[in-house]
Amino acid sequence: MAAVAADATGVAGADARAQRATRGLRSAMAQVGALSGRSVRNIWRQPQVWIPSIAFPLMFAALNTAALGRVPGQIADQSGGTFHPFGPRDVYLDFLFVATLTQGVLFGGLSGGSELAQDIESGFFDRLVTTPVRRASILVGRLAGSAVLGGVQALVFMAVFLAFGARVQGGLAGAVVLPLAAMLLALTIGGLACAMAIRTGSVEAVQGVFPLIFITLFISSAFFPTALMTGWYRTVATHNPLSTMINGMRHQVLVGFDLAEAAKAVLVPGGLATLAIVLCLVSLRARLAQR
Amino acid sequence: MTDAAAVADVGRQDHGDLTGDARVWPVAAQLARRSIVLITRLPSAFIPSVVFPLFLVIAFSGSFDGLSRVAFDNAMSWYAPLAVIQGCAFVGVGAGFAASREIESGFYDRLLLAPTPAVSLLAGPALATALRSIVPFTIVIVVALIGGAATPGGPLALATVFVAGLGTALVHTFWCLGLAYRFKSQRAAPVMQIGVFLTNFLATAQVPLGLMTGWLHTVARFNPMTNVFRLGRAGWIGEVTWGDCWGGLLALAVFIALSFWFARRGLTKMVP
Repeated sequence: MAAVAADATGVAGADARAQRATRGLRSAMAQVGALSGRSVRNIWRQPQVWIPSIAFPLMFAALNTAALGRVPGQIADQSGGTFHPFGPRDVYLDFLFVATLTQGVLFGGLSGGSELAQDIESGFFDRLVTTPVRRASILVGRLAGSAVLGGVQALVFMAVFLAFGARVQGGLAGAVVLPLAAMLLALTIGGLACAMAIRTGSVEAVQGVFPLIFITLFISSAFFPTALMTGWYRTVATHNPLSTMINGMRHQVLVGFDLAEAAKAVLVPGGLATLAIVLCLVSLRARLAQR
Repeated sequence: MTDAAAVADVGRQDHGDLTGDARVWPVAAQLARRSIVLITRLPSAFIPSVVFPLFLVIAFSGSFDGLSRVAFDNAMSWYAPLAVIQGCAFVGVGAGFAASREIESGFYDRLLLAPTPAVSLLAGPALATALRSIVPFTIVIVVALIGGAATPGGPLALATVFVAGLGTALVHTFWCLGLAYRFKSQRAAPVMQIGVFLTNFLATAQVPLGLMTGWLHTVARFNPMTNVFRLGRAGWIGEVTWGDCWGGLLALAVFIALSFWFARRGLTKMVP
């Protein structure tokens, strides 16, 4: 009898715990949804944040294509048609597509961190943490804004490049890999920028990350194939994780869909994004512990 | 003594026995001295003009090393003059930033009220720019030579690139001062920076004219900065010849005169 009663109590307790967990999950989802919506709306309402991250990479793409458009063909001709470091079609526009996408996402990804730093500077962040909102929701909301912007940028760049004659040899499957990788890369940069924002609480400090990103992008395979580089520069560019991601994405554009290359394109930014989010959470915990 | 008081003092001391034109230089020298001192007081404003050209010469010669197969013999020799010219241009932009900052803070009002010739407010930053340009020039040249740049033109190659860099720095100094006098705010900063990128990268900054295609080839052909780059690269890409130099010298002379006029007019409108 007592055992039955204990079982009943146990079942009732488990039900209550399950209900609480469900309510908690719903509440967390609602908070994430509200904060993500705010983040996306914030970015959308400030064209000065997202227009440069689309316009400048496209401007540089136009410049680079006109400056370096002849190079792939000339290098292929020199080798008697056996060496195609810019892809089988020898078209620089195709080669540059992923570089432009990466450049735009890297610069746009900073906006989430800048917004968070602005919230900290204006005192909104302090008001937010005094409410019963889950701490992780604050971060997830911000990062969702960066990821959405990254995805939208990828689609805009794809539309512009396709309109100007670029081809994605990987078809639909290859085309899906690009915005997915872009969103994960935006999460990585957004995460790093948010961690910087939480640690420093300064918009200026977050913007200070920009030159580092610029250097990381340049010393990679983004604008020129590593096969044509020499010395230490080639070594650094080859081992730059950004090159691994870019090469994986580029394979979908230049050669065709390949699962192993697609995995590189997605797993590298995915892994980096995980690290960045962990760094963010650690920074947030440290900041809240100081209060 | 404050900086503004020191400038005014130089103006007063010279007022009795010197003509207006002769008083320009002591005041300009004082303003230039102040600008040089600011390098240590406000390094964050100067560091970009050193770091950026350094990054440019390393990144461009490293990334586009493969162009030596089709466009030029030595990537470092091609990109070192670009880095010097770009670095010097940013020194000029820095003078514009400083003027914008001082206009916003009210320091410029005190300079304008001092009994000094207005043109000294242009000559001072120009003199400071000329001195500051030595820093990016030296750093880039040392790195480029260590990195394997060749100078078939011998020591004259250093002279051509220095003249091209100095001239470009003066053009951007006057242009950015003119913008600062008109905007009267640091919001002019992006316009100042974009000016450097547009004039340089729509010329032969990145690749030779022969490699360009379409609209860029047309624009670069008529962009006077192409002549300035030809001057800067004389002695780095082949021997120094008058044919490579005169176009750049002429372009710089015309642009210095025009940008000086632009700045002078802006300053005249600002004087109360």
